[in-house]
Amino acid sequence: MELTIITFCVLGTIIGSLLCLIPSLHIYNVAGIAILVYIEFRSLIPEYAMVPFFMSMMVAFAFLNTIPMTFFSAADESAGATILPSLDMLKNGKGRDASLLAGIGTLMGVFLLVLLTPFFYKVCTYIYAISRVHLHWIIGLILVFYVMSEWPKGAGRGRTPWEKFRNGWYNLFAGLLTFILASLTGLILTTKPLAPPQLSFQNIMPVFVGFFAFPSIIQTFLSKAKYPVDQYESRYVNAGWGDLGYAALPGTVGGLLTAMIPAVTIGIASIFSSHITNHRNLIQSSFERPVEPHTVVRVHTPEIYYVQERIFLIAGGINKIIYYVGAFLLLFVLTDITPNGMGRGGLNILMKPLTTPQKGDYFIMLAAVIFSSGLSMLLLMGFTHLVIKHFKKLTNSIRLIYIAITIFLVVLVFLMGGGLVDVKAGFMALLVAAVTTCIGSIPVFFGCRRSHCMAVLLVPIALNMAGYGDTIARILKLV
Amino acid sequence: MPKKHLSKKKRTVPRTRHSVVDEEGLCPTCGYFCATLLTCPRCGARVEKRISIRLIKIISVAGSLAGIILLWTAAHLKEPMLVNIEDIDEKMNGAYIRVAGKMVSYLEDTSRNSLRMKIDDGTGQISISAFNKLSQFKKIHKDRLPELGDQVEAAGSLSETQKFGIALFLPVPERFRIIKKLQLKSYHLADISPGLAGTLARISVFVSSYEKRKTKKGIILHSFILSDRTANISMVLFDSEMERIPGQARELLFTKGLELDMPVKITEYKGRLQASISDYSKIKMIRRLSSKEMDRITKAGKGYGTTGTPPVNSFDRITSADIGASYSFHAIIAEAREMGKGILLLLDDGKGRMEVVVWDSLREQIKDYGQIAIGIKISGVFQISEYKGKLQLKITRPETLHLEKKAE
Repeated sequence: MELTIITFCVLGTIIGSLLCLIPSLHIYNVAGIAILVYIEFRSLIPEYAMVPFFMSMMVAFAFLNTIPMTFFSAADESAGATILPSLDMLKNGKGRDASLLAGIGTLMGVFLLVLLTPFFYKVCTYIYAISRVHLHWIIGLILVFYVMSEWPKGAGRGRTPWEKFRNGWYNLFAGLLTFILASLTGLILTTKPLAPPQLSFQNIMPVFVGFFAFPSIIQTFLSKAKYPVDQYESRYVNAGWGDLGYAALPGTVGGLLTAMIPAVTIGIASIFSSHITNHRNLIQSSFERPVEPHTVVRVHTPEIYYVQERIFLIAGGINKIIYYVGAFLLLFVLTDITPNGMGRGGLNILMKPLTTPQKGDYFIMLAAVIFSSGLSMLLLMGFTHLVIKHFKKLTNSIRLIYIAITIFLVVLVFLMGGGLVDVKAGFMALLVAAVTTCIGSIPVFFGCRRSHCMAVLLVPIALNMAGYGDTIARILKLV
Repeated sequence: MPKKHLSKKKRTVPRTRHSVVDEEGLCPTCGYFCATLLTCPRCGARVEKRISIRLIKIISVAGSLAGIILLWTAAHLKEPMLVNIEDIDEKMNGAYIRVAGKMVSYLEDTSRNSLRMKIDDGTGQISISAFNKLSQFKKIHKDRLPELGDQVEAAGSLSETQKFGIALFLPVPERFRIIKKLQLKSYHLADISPGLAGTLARISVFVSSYEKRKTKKGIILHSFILSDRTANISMVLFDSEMERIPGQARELLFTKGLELDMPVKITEYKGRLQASISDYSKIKMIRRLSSKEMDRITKAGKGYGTTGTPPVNSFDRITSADIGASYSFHAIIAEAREMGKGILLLLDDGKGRMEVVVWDSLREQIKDYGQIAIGIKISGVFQISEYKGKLQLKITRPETLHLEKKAE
């Protein structure tokens, strides 16, 4: 049995690693395909090995997804945690650093998961039990804060008040429009899903592919940005122990937010955690006369940018592993207060019909996570080196790669969205993806937060938890 | 002044592929890549040659608005698929489906404003939950609330877990409807046969006895004997069930001398038929019986047994008041006359004579049908009926008929 579990962990890590290198392909899409395969060959794959297999795939994704996000700008929603500084680093020839810093953060997150085990059993269970009846207004507050934290924007440029107003609010209104349209989409699709019942377990897939994958691909096709081919390599990573320490708190806070609150993803959680734990590398200056007596003038140094860049990447890595892996790991925390576990996230929803957590499974899963993390980190280092070595070839043929990926995603959406059951359902899935692509393109091309697209889940979940699901159905005439 | 023609300077540097600079998207002052921005975010200079994506922006916004309308239209026109419960599998988790079948369980939880039902569509059973929707459900369905046995249809979201099985969530009470209300058939207790086990029926009975007892395992049972003028039937309730009985229903059950009309489900336990009340709110008082009447019913006739074995009777005691009741008779075939689609028999039990028609359609169901002849003894359960003002016997339970074989 132990050997079977280890074998499936290795298999899951390798399969997850290879598939995660495909830009714009999300692990939940891969998991959906894997579940279909498992259901067909259920007698060949033991259930006790199936769950570690999926867990290992998730761990591999958390590590290796950094590579397409960093080097090929293939952003999903979780990219909000890592992508901005990593793109800047890539432009400066430090793509390797960006990739490995995120990987180190993810590895650190694994150790934190181990250390947080007593916290999960002794504290999180109470937080879960108390908060679950209040989630609707918690999510509501998150939405309000998330939207308002983008305000104000603009640098006051413009000659007339109208130009200044336009300059400041142009992309904020785009963000609000994205939020409203995504909310409407979510309300329509959760009130009356359009996916065929036989493939409903993947009904959200066309939505997310449309929101995040296709707009990124369009952006890549239109972009004329050129990244320096010379990406430097060295034996070292440009970070210190202090950076790891600074990153631990925002990463853990953000990760726990994503693990405990439904529909809150990395992009949103990282905004919160950075606000909660914000610290500036400010140097107190003594040679400038302060305006107010008995105060000092603090200045930003250039170093602050680079320190915050590193902290952002490392914290993003921690955030990612706790979001993807920790949320599923919490399913196995079985106590008297949480007899059915505290699982959240897409993999939890996919797995629940197939498996029931038992006492003792938590430690098996934790062991699978640790084992898979070690393998994944080694694979990350290896693949990063390979990508850098062939970076010129890859960037020269980036359009070809993206054409192939586009075709693959279109076929995937068609088949998994309903085409396997009925051709009409497949085209309906493509229509959904087309609509969400249009909505997802607004933040990309108008310059606002892509996480506004997460309103597709947050708003319907908050309203349904508050008991207004039927009211919404009546208002929308979708009874 | 005439315009000077500017002479074109000869290029001294050869034009090669690498010396042509693509300035599109670059800031003219600092060279920062500004992409689509009008103003450089680094130095604030105006970007002259920004990458134009105006068309993409227009398509995004217009496509989103048009797309939302399309999605809404598709959702509005969509009808949820009717699914057999046995066909539900793991891939359907989260599906929006419709199930139709017979209501086999209905529980209201007023403290949580929730409702739980179970539907059986013949291929399986599924539980339907409506959390925090009970008051809304009652408001919408008003006086047409579902009852056990009704044919109903519900559309909702499927939830599937390995631990708890499948369940349907009903977030919108309007998505539940009653296809056909069950019309409960009334039975005399004597007419209730083992074939009716599992069905719902309406009976008019009174509580002839009540006993509270404790089993060896310490479980408290409340045993009722329900009686009408044809037979008895037992009803056993656990203590926990007794506590859930509404006050009015409890009062009716425990008040002596009341003839009650109640919907029951016929069940079987260790070979004996039992009744269990399906809806306590539907128990109604028909009339009050006098103690004489109760005595007459409980003590009258020998062989007054529990359901399934109607009491033995004789032809001389049958009156028009017995029309509809079933009794056991032992008689001899005095006359036999063929008629269109059956045989008219005149039975004589030594105390009286009554006619019965044995229809050809019952041929296969009556054992020893071929033995029917004058002088043969016949016994079984017959129902008292009337034809053209004359009392007659009717065969409702042909499996109980026994014909004595002719001596060889």
